[in-house]
Amino acid sequence: MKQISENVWQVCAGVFPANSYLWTGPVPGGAIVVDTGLDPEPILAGLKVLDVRPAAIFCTHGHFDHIGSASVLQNAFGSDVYLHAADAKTAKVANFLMMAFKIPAKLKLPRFSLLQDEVGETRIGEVSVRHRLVPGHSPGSCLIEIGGTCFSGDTLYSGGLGLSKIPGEDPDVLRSSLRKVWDTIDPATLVCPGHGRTAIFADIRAHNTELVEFMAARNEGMAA
Amino acid sequence: MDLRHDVLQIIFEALKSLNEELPEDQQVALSEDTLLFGGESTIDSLSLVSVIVDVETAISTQFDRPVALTDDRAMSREPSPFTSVRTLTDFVVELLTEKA
Repeated sequence: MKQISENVWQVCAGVFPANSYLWTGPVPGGAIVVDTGLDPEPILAGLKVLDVRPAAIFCTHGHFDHIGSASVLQNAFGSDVYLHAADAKTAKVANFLMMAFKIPAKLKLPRFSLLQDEVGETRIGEVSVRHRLVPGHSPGSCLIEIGGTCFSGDTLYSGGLGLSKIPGEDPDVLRSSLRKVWDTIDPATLVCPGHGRTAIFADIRAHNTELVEFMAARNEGMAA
Repeated sequence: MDLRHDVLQIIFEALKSLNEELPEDQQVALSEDTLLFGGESTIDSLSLVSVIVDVETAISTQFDRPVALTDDRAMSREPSPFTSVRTLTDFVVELLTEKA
């Protein structure tokens, strides 16, 4: 487990590694988990080290490497697991995708609390968790924002692009989503992506040239 | 036309679409014996996902009812419905002939 900021820790493990985050603050149990990789053990170990329990679990999107351990954590702690409604089907095909990609794991889906609307806030204890729907990587991908931290899943990386050619992905829609939120994110925001390193948003704007070029390109459906 | 024939044609259409993306020496045979998944299949993971999603969409459209090929019911079947064109056809026919 790696400490990212005063109250954010990152866990990355499993047969298909993805970042999970433990956020600590004034919520019942002391923590919120964002994304749950395929391997629950390092997340459980991290919660134990921090001596916290997750009041809630937010999944940035429904791909298997981001929801994999959610049911284990839900069963252990009784936490609500939040996912945008537009990715409910994405989650349902998780085991099919893992089979197709020959990933030796199988997951059980949690009981999801489905987030609605393009933008919304969920009150967890004294904390407001904001979601912004940013489809493209998947239909229901979201930015999950708590205070000055943005958990960006596979929509916004510190380096490179979140394109994988998995059905449900739409590069043009991703481009539109990124353009829509690009100037609304505070440059000082700590961005915690689903893969790769965390970064301050100002640094992503300055250094993620692949992403900037992708955003500047024309949509495939448009005439040259 | 019988149901099995219609389903088979939908699967072949999905494979034809895949073949349009593949080089000449990697074309997938339009046969019930064609292997879709497993060690001897020549179809890569992303292509398999794409074919199955295409079939799922086409079946649901043509028969005007939702058909789920990618949920956990399909995943729990032995042998896997995704093993070959034949097993996939049989699975789809089974789903379509179930009482609503």
